[in-house]
Amino acid sequence: MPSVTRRGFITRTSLSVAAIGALSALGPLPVLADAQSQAQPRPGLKPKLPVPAVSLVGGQPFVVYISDPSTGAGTILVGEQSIPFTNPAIVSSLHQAIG
Amino acid sequence: MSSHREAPEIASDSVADNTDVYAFVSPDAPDTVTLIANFIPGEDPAGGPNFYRFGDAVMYSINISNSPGGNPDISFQFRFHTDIQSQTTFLYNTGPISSLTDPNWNLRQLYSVTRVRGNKSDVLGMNLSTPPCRIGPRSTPKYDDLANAAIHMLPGGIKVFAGQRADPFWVDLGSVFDLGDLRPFQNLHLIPSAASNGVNELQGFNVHTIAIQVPIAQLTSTGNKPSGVMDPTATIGVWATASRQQSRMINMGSAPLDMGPWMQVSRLGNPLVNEVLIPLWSKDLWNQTPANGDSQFLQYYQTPELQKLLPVLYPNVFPNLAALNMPRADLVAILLTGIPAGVVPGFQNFTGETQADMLRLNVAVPPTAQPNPVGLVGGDAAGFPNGRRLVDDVVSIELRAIAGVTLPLVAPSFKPDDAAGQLKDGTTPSPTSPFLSSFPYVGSPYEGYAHQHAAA
Repeated sequence: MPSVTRRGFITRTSLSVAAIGALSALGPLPVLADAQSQAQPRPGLKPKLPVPAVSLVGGQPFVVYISDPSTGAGTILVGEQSIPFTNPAIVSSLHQAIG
Repeated sequence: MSSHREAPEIASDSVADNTDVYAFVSPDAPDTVTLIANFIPGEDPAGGPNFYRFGDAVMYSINISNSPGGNPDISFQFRFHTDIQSQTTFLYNTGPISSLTDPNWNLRQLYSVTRVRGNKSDVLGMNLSTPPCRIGPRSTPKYDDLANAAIHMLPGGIKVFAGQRADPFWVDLGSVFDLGDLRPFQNLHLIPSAASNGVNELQGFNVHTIAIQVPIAQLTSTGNKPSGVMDPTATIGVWATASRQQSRMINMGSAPLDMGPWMQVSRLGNPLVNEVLIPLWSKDLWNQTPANGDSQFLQYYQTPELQKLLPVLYPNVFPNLAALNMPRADLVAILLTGIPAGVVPGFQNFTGETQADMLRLNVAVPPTAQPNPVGLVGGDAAGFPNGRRLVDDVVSIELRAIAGVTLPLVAPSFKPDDAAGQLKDGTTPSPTSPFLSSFPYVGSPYEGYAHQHAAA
């Protein structure tokens, strides 16, 4: 998480938060794993992180695009794939990373 | 221009900008169809030091639909990669380039061809050479030899070429976008001046061409040559696309990193459609839309803005067109569904009710020895809008069609105005880089050394 903050990978806009991370992930994704374990989802919203999201990366860089911060809806872009997810905890965690 | 810089977004992404698409039964190999897609509009031949090349991060596709529905039943996909031979020179070449493997050629581009049919992908060729750009007599002294060496044979009797060529399109761009002026008729314009010949502003500019020649039997749904022109399986739909991956990361000191699914950014089937029929507001959406999603743009085909403008820009010249008040079923047929049997005697290129902007080529129509540049309108069924040949004067054809010449095919009571059948912009193909009689048919590129802009 600290490295994410230092590198300034997160760009915030008025409408959305684009988490742009060229993260060479070996093993679980730190951002996603932390978000899942630490942040509390908003009432009424169930995190829907797809199971393959962690294993698919396999060391490839990837981009996480949060298209709707209010619901935690976003997309993981990796290789030639696009994996949608909904996870407000990630947004919360990224907000914390932004400081 | 046919589709050069036709939409706001693609105008800023020239390597992905599809300028023209052609599809015709090969005149010198009539058992095959030649498909051509051109990209990168307005290449200045003296484009050094970084001469033009295809986009390494772009997926170029030529798509064929051979069944109702406007789906890409077959796609030929082209992916390019650039090899820089030396890390110590700023030069494109360090001596004359005498072959495609000449060590003097520093920056070369190679490509792969993949055929996609449904879920099946076949890599037909890898590391195929493009020719260098045509620089000058010292760098590329025997250019045609280099270009010919870049014609590759692929499995199944398929022939392919990718590289720089002279832009084969011709149009009086400076005039037509000056409030719809057509120089031969500008004495009749709302803001008149003396009539004159047209000026082909594309003459002297190059493009990058992808050309592929495929046996007809590999393109039809039956796997055979059709039995005749009226055979419902005789028509294929053709269009080209360019796509980029959804996300790009700009990195310090290394190549940009592209991630995510491929997103279509350029599309072209029939010439001039996105250029002239689709409003500015919707042009980028049109480029992104699959061909079989074109019903959302139907109104622009049924009531073209240019149809309304002609009577305004040329007062009293188009009274019948001005009074016209019906959807243009003729344009919808020509551009979106194909011409059904019974409209033009002995001809059809109907592909079903799905509205999809594609070049429709009835592959059972043999090539004509003396093509008529106005194609089907002039009685030559081997020409546009039955596919499109390099010689087809699509500017004149579409001007006349929009002015009402083709409407009587579906509305016999409509009488086209006398001027409608004479409309043209007054330009002709470039005489200095003629079309070739054999593959890849597009003329040799203009040379950087010899090129100079016309005096202002």
